[in-house]
Amino acid sequence: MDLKLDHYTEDDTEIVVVEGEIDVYTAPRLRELLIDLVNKGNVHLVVNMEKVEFLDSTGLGVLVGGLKRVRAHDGTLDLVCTQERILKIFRITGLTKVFGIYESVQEAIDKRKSK
Amino acid sequence: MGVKFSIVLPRQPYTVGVVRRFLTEALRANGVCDECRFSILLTASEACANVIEHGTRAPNYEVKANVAGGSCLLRIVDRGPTFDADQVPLPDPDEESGRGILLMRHLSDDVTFTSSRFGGTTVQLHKRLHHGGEHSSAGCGMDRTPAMLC
Repeated sequence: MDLKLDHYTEDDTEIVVVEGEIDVYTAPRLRELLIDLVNKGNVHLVVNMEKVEFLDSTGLGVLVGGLKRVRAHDGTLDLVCTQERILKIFRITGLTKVFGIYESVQEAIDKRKSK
Repeated sequence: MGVKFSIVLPRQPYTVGVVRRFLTEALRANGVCDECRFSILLTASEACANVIEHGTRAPNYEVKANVAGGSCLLRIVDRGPTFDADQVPLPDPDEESGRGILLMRHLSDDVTFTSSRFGGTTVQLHKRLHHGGEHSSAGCGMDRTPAMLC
């Protein structure tokens, strides 16, 4: 089992690239990264989930926690995901109404800036 | 070809991935389509994660799987504190936990939570591998030659 995390800056947005499996074992690493980024002043985050192979409710909880954290600083946390099996999890849990979910990083950035 | 196994695991987070590896091979060997496989892996992970997060007192837990005859039956057995799944409320959108049972119920054909009078809970997850017409075209279930035998 593996989870790879990376991040880079694009415009004023921090892009978090997640690859692999997010579950009760690996999710704490994603939580730590999101907390660290926010603590360093990054309040506009886009989590790119295109390479996520598995996601459970622990991972959903980490993303919700990240969203609450950035909102406390008037920030945003949007997702990039086009994988039907992952999108289904967000739909079942009603989280498609909570997160902005986009098809590309650029779309996520453009949408936020247009608001 | 049916696959039946039972494994006892330490109540540690890394074991959830181990369970998924076992199940992945069992489901692939039975030609189960990607969609059913993903649902089963997710519901199993949720049940195991519940044990790991809430099964205090229990050093181990057991996963029993029976993939055969067009169905997948999983039992996740622990000796931790009992709970009443019907009393677990639906999570608010900004809650960081509490979505596991919702996912188990949505993605399985049948879920039961049985408390033992000696302590502990058995979660039983049943998934029909041919689930209506939507999966038939994907070759899910027993009508397809298992990939490992091709």
